[in-house]
Amino acid sequence: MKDVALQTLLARTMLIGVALAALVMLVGGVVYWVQDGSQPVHDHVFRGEPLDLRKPNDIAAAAWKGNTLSIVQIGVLLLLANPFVRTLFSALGYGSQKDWLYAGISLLVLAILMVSFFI
Amino acid sequence: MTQLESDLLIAVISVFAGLFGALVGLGGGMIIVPVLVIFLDIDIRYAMGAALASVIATSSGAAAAYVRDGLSNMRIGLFLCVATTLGAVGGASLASVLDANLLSVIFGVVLLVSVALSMKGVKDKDTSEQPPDRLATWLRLDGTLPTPEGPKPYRVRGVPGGFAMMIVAGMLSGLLGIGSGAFKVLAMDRIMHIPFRVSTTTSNFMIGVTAAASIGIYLKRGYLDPALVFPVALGVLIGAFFGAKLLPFISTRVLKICFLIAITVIGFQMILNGVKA
Repeated sequence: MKDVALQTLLARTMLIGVALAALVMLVGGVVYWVQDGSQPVHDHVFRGEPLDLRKPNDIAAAAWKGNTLSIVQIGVLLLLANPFVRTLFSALGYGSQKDWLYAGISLLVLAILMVSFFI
Repeated sequence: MTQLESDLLIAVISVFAGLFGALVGLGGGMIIVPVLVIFLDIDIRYAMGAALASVIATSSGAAAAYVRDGLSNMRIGLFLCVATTLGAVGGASLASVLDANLLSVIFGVVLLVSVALSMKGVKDKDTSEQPPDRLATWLRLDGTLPTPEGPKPYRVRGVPGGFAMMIVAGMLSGLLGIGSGAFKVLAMDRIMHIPFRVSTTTSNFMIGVTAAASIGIYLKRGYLDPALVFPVALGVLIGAFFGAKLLPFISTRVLKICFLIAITVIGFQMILNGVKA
């Protein structure tokens, strides 16, 4: 894969990823407004979000059941996933050029992202 | 106020934050956090979480075109992302142990520094005649800038200094929920002598990757309130989109000066808020 082809692939990944995340957030947000929009506004004192809005599999499970805020959180996860996919594609792209230095650097960034997600 | 009214208000404010952020070249995150904290009395940790989500969205959207057109230097971006992501993990971890008032003070200081950085003029040095830098050559960081007169080569130097500055930029991003674009550009433009256009567009690519390293930590600590994230992220995204479209057609000089004054006041207010409490 040439540099130009890799640039095109990365550009598409970013654009589609953001559009998809925005769409999911919008759908979740609008349904949330329809269901709970007339409730009095909740305060913004910090308590930390409930545990089912913190872990990907719990978020997915609640979103599947139709919890609107969990659907918004899926949008957040999609945003978060975008740079993971970006660095993975970079690694594959440079790998296919036999540019091992930059395939390695891409994988190193991906590894740091992974560690940040699982610590 | 109902939830819907409150969210709509936040969304409208976020659109303006994104719009002005794009027009004056200060990220949406730097603007939206203090506005949420000072005017809407939202806890700074929730504000940081929502801002960081909006930062990933806008920077990825903007970077797509630059990366496609080869304006962003991908090798520079990926190499320096090692520094920013490491810094971001440290910064986000630090954010969860620091007191919210201290975060507010640090935020105000960083805001003022960013304003100062964005006021300095831009002057690219012609680096094509310089001897190659050993480390930059080994890492193949030198590149070409597309110009109307054809591609113009540039040479990169100051790699260790730039890398160190990027660790700081990443830390600030994770600590405060901002893109810290001003600090990334500082590292590339001033320390590494990378042309300004390449620095800003490469910084856009890096911001999303950097933010991803801290947003996972924010998520686990419960900083991401979806009811706040969606009006903020979508609002800033829409505002930034139109800001970028509008940019070529309006003179931003006066706007920029007025805006930087306002931001300076807000920066001091953030410091006061933290000190008082």
